[in-house]
Amino acid sequence: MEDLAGLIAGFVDNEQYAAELREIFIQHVRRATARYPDAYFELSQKNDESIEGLADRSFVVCARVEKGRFPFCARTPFTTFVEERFDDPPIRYHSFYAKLSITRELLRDDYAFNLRRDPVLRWRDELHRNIGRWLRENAENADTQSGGHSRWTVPQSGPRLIRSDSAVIEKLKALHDKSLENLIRTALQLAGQPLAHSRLSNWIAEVLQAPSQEVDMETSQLPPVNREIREAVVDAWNELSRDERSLIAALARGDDYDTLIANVPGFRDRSSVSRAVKKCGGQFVEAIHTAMGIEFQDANSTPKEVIERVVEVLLPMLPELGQREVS
Amino acid sequence: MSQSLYEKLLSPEQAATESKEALWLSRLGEEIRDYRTWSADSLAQSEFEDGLYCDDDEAWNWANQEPAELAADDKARLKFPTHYHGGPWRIVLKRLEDGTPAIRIDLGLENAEIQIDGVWISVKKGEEQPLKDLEEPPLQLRIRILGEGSWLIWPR
Repeated sequence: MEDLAGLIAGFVDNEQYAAELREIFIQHVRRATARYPDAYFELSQKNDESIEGLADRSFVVCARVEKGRFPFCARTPFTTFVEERFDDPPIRYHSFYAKLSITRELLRDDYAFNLRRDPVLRWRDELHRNIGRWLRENAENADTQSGGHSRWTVPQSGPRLIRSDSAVIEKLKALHDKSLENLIRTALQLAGQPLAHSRLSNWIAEVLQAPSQEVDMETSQLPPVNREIREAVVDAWNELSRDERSLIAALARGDDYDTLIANVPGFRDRSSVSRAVKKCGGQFVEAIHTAMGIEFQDANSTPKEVIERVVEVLLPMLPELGQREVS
Repeated sequence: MSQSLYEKLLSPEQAATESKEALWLSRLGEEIRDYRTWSADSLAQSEFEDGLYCDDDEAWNWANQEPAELAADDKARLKFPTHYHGGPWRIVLKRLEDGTPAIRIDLGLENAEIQIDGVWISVKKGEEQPLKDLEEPPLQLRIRILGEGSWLIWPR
């Protein structure tokens, strides 16, 4: 079988070997995601279908999405691999396995999406934010690792015993005072070494009890997006021109007017932007209202729900809109 | 051209003078930016930055493995018995004497329901409950007690 670099070169040159590449992508994505729980996958379910879906999206990003960060530098990953003459190991590393690989970035985004929808995960996320506030106000930022993330500790004297995760959790569970402040402070002391924020959050989430899923479901905002709405958003998006899509991406990034004009050749003057705005907005408003069975309303009363629906469909479909890259 | 796109489309005062399509589109942009701000502080971003589930050395080793080695490793799955710990729970998935998979709560609370293959089943503490169709232990267990709480635990 041809090596990965050769297959990618064939794909970049004339779109050959898509089926072979897909098989390889599925194999590596399955390996790269072996330790991740359901929460990291579409619909919070880890199965063959969601792993293949993730592999397909990794493939699309590698083939079509220009990435700003190193080593891609405003090129698609596949183009980068060919131009820089990467052999298989670095291709596999940047595509699937590295922390900043394409696959792991998509996993993070799917997890973030699920955090907003699943009551138990939402509770864990809120707990994580509360712990973050306490750490910033009361703990010491011990060091910054090469990946740029912080570790936290509290001042203490004397020798420190480094304990395993399970040993710390057992001691935390035995505490009489399970206030968040006491749990965080005790956990930092028991750990015996500076701790990453997420590790601390996961410990404390094991000690505390998540609220009832049923009670939370009653207050959760939206039922799942149905197929008609998903199709309407996708159709409306597909009808937009490349420049019009650039306009929505610029709005999502909060770009200023000059940046938009400078970056998109189709927008040479103010009136061309206005025309695009009217067309994009009109298409989405009409398509989504029709799909949701809501009468076309004046924009002032356009329900937030409709926009949330569009965001919910567009963000997973278009990684460039929600992209948060680390250079 | 010096007027920013934000001022043109995204500020409420300006938006009020714009067409309904522009107003709608500005709200879409705002919503996407809100989501991005939220996700930047989320547990997902934190776990990503902290490298949970991902050791850089291991990632590089995997990247250097050839496809044949990878295929062999793919066959490794969880086996019975598998023990799950977390919160107040200690649960085991094991095989009964006749080989049927079963679940037992050794430590935990009463009236628990546990999700197996997408279906919620009631499990009494200390009793072995057969799970006829379960092929292998799941990577995590989701537990709930109506009106009390929910948990997510992993194999230990």
